[in-house]
Amino acid sequence: MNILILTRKAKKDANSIYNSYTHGIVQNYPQTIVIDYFDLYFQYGKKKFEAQILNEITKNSIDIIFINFVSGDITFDLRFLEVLAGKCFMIMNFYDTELFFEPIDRYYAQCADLVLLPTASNFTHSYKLLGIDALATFSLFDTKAYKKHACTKDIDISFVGDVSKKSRKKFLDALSASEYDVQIFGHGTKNGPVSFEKMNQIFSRSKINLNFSDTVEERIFNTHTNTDYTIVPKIMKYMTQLKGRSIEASLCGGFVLTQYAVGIEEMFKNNEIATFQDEAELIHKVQYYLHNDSLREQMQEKAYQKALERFDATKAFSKIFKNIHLQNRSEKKIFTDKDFLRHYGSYHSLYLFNFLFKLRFFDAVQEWKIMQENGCKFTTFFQHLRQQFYYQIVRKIFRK
Amino acid sequence: MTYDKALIISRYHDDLANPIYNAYIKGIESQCSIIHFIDYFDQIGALGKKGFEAQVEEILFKEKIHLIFFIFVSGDPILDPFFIQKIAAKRFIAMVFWDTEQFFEQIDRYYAQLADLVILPANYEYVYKLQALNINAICPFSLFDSTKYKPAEETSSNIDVSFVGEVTKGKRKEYISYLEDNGINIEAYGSGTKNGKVSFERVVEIFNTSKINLSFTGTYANDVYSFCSNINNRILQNKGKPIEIALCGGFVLTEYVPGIEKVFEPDTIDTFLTKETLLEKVKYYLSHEQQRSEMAKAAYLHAKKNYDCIEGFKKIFQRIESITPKEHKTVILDTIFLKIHTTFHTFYFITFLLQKRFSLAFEEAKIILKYRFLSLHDIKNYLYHEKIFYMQKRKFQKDFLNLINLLRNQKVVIYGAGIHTLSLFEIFPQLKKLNITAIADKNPSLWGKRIHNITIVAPDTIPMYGNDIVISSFAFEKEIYSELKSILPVSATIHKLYSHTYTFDFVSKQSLKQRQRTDPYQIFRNTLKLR
Repeated sequence: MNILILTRKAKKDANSIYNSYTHGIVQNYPQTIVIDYFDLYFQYGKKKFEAQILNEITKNSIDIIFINFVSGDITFDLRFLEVLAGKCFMIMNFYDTELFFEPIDRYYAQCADLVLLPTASNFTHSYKLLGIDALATFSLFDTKAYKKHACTKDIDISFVGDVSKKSRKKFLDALSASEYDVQIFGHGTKNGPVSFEKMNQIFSRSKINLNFSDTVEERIFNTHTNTDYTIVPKIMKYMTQLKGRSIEASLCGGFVLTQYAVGIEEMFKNNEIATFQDEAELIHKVQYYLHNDSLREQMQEKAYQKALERFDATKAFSKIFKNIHLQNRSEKKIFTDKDFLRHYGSYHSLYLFNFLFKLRFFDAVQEWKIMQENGCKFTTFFQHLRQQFYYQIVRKIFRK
Repeated sequence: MTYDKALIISRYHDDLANPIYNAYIKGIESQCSIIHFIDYFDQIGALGKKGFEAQVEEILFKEKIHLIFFIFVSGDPILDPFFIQKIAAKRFIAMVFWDTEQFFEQIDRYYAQLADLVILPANYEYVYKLQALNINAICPFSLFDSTKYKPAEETSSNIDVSFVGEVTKGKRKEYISYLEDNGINIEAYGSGTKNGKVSFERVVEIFNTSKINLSFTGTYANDVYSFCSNINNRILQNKGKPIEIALCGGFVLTEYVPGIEKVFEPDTIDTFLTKETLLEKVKYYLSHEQQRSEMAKAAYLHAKKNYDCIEGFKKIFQRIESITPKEHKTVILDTIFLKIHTTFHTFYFITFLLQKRFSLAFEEAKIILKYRFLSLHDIKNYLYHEKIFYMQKRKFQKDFLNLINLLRNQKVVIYGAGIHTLSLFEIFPQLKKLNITAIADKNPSLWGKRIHNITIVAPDTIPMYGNDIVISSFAFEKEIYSELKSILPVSATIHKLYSHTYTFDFVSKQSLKQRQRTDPYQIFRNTLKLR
């Protein structure tokens, strides 16, 4: 099978889930072609970007296109995806589909023959309702990148991640109030961000690795990642999200105590990891597991074995691709809605300003046309203007 | 916790309009010793928002009710979520949403966040969607009063293939035409068909006497509701119709919908995906009578066991009793919900203004000003429909008065002894001046009774009473006309009130509005104390 992956490429040492997915497929099909679609778009602009992809498909007789979407990304033109779907078997993977299913993912998914979701099976039903085949894979990792460090468990409780969210703070404060020492790492913490290697060590060194299942609280535009959370319905605040962090900690031989999320029982059994629902249960379980070393060790070993077997990208993609029948391609009937088109138009103001500030007027005109045709939200337009002005003008001046 | 009393907030429907509402009420009634019913449509129309809410609170307080069922009219966003939040404190809230496939995103989930349990009659996938929002949900599929659907004692199938329903949805028209073009003897009933709408009794009869009963799964084209997403046109709806057909002992051939295998086992009904497979299967089953009747029998037994409202609500109440109601019910609203909610309040505002009930209009204006999100497109549509309604109403009144003049000095029989005829007498007092010799109706239990001193008689005795027959029905005018044509002598003149000229039932609607205006406290007409 000839496969083309359109994804994001991270630096080799910066282990990212995008790289894990690519690695998993390439291990099974070494002739796979991998393109960073973001870089390609920034490099060539819309027309050449699309021509380049079509060219790769023809040149390499591609059978399957695998699009590993950056969460909340709306770079692709739906009509272009429809063209691609007419040529090849299309697989799409959506991160954070709990948040972006309604505003974005479901519109793109109409062009897919198979949708992969790094979540539990409950979310596949939203796709199946629309007549789209979907598979819940949970997050998949390059398990060889994670190591069980042979070290003493010198940290009682640790958490690696963002602590600015109110719901997390509530739990961490409850632990502090009960005089438990929680070592916190990540942006905005006193220990600061940690490297991938250091994170693995923390997982191995901790008696209890905490994990939270909340989604993004604030409906804001994230300038660093270009993610527009304002398009996510507020009611999604009720949702919990199955994070890959529990799998990562397990792959390092760490014991996981995670906030409950719908479908977590499909990921790990209750004799592999532990869950809590509220502050009282968290404190109770922290106390219990800190005093039960052997039980904790048994559970972390089981979780480790499970993670190696179930969440290894190479093994998972081997199974997924074996079950694909290239001739079983679904009929593509595409529907759009005003809101989706407006999000698409608004997102392209990112490229408009990028090209404008780089004085690539021809490419900028193409983006302007997209915005004219589909509409544009002023707030997103303004955020992209500010962001690109900073990156393309201010930063360059100061660097000089 | 067990619940002995329940309040149902819903819409009153008689069996003719929609038997499923009554089936759910019967199901709840079978599990509680006291139930109270409030028709929220009528009550908001009669008392306004505040009056309705005060009435609900009064009943809850006086009767010490801790279980409330909201059986929403599909896609209706008029109830205030903050009012539901207020009454939901320390009470168990159960909600039923019809057609959630269309209204989940824009309306249903915003109410569902206040529910302790959501009961879904259709696609089970929404259970997962609700659970993802941390809302308890179950999907027992559609439940019916199985005593109202009986299999025919003698199987004399005289219709090869039938379909009952609106032909405007999904692919229905195309598929029916395809069967006709291929020489299949198919009869369609319902809006947009040549046979027109039929009564509930006739529906049961059709299910009984058809060799194959078709069912389709498409939803309304979303241009009907401007706020629905186009993409949801992809969703196929798991309908209750196959269950109704099965309860009548009919054989079901339905368009495939994911999840249908959870409703019926494969050897009890059959499915199709394309018009070609439909034709193929129709031909097959028409020539395999034995297999057809065995499958229909198995489907009947399955439906009777699983989809009877009393049996269904036994299980629902077991679930209710196992759940502790949430202590704090939060409300999160998005612009889309507020927009629809406010737009619907604008409809009420316009209605109250036209009825010159200014204090109620002012209440509505306050809601509009509070949220200030409006769908101008829908308001424009509403005003257009109101304009058409008033123009047609004037013409209808004029035409009916002309008919009364025409029938002076004639012996007149009115067909139909229902609410339409009662309302007709109320709105047009001139009618009493005519020489009305009888009122005919095919319901034997009414024969011999009297309306305004006029005896109700059987339809076959009409020729004894007069030669001019006025059909007093909006919904079944076409069906009654065909029946009368076949039993009356050629000399008889049958007068239709609506024909194809009018698209509204002016008599019942007008009557309802008059009652609301003159007697707003006739609340207990609507607040039916069922037991």
